[in-house]
Amino acid sequence: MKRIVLAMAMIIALPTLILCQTNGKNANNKGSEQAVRQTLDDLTAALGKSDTAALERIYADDYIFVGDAGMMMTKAERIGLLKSGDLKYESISHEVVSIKLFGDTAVAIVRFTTKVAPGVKISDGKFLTTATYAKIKGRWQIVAAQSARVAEQ
Amino acid sequence: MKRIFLMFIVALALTGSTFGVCVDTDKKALEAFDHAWSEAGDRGDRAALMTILADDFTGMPAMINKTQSIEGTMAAFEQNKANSQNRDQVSSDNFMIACTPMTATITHRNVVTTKNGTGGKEETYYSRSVHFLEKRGGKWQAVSSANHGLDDYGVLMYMEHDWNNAYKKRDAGWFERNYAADYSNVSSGTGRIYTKASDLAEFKNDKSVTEWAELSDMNIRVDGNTAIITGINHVKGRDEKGQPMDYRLRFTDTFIKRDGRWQVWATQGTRIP
Repeated sequence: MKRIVLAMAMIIALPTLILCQTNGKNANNKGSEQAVRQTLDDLTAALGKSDTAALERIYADDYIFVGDAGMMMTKAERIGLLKSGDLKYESISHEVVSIKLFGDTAVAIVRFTTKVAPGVKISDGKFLTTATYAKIKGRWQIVAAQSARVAEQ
Repeated sequence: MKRIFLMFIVALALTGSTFGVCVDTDKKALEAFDHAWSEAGDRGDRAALMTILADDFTGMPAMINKTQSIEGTMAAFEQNKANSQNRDQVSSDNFMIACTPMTATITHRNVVTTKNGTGGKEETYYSRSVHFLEKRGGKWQAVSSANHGLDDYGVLMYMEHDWNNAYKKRDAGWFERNYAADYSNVSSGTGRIYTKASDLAEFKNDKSVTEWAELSDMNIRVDGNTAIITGINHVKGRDEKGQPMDYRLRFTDTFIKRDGRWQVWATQGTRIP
C-alpha cells in the first residue's frame, strides 16, 4: 500500500517538478531578454548623448563593428569618433525586431533611425543591425554588430 | 658565361618543375589509395593493410609501428562489428595532395559522428590527417601518418570554407544541416531578414552561379559555446541574368555549439564598394 501511495505521489509530483524547471528556465530567459533590451536602451541613450563613459561599459573590450559601407571598427575607434565629434547624433531611436538567447549569448536584430548633427560627414538614415551580446562578468555587453542601410520606403 | 649560367638556371628550374609536377591523374590515384586504406580498415582486411603500410611505417602522435597500427585498426573493426548499430560514422574530405614521382603527401579532414558523445548524445569530432607515402617496388606505401584533432578555431575555419563550397556546389543539404533552427540573416542588399526556411527557399530559387569564392581578413573569436567570425568573402560568378558578378562582402557570423556541433546562428554581410 505504502508503495502505491509513493508511486502515486511521484506521478503527481513529477509533472509539477518538470513544470517548475521549465518555468524557471523561461523566467531566466525572460530576465536575460529584459537585460538585453535594457542594454539596447542604454546604448541608444549613450549614442544620443555621446556618453562615451557609458559606451565603454556597453561595448565589450574586443567589440567589432561593421558599418553599412563595410568598414570595420574596434571599440576604441567607434568611441573615438564620438569623442572627436566626427560622429554626433541629433537624434537616434531603435526598435527591436527580435532577440534570441543561447546561454550567456544573445543575438538582437534591431532597426535604428538616426539623424546626425549638422556638419557631421557620416551619413544617417534607417539601419538594420545584427548585434551579438555576451554576458561577461555578470553584465550583458555587445561583442559584435553589423549594420545595413535600409532603403527608405 | 652569363648565357651558360642563365641556361643552367632555366634547366634547373625546368627539371625541378618536371619532378615537382603532380598531375590530376596522380592526385586521383593517391586519393583512391587513401580511400582503399580506409576501406581496408572498415572491413578488417589485414592483408590489404599489410600491403598499404610500409614495413618501417610510423603512426603519430602515438609513435606506433606497422604492427601496432594494424592491430589497433583490427581492434576497432572488431569493436564496430560487435556494436554495428552504434558505430561511428566516419568520412574524409578537403583533400590536399602533393607528389613527386617517388614521394607523396596526402592531407585531409576527418569527420567522425558518434552516437555516444557527451551525455550519451550524438556528437561530431573533426581531425586532420597527414600521410607521407613513398613509391616502393612500383607501388605507393604509407611510411608515416599523423593525425591531430581540430580545435574550435580549425573547425570553424573549415565551416566557413564549407559554406562557400556549398554555394559553389549548390548543396542545399549543407544549409539544412548547418543552419541552426533559429538562424537569422540580414541581407545588406535588401535589408530583408531571412529565417532558415526563407533563406533556404531563396537559395533554391536563386539562379545565380558562384564559380569562385575566397575568404580573407578572417578573425575568429571563440568563447565557450559561442563564436564570432568576421571576414571578407570575395565572390565571382554569374548573376541571375547570366551576367558576370564580382563582389566583396564583409561579414559577421555568429556560431553556437548546440547539440554537440557548431551551427550558424546569425549572419549579416555588407558589400564593400
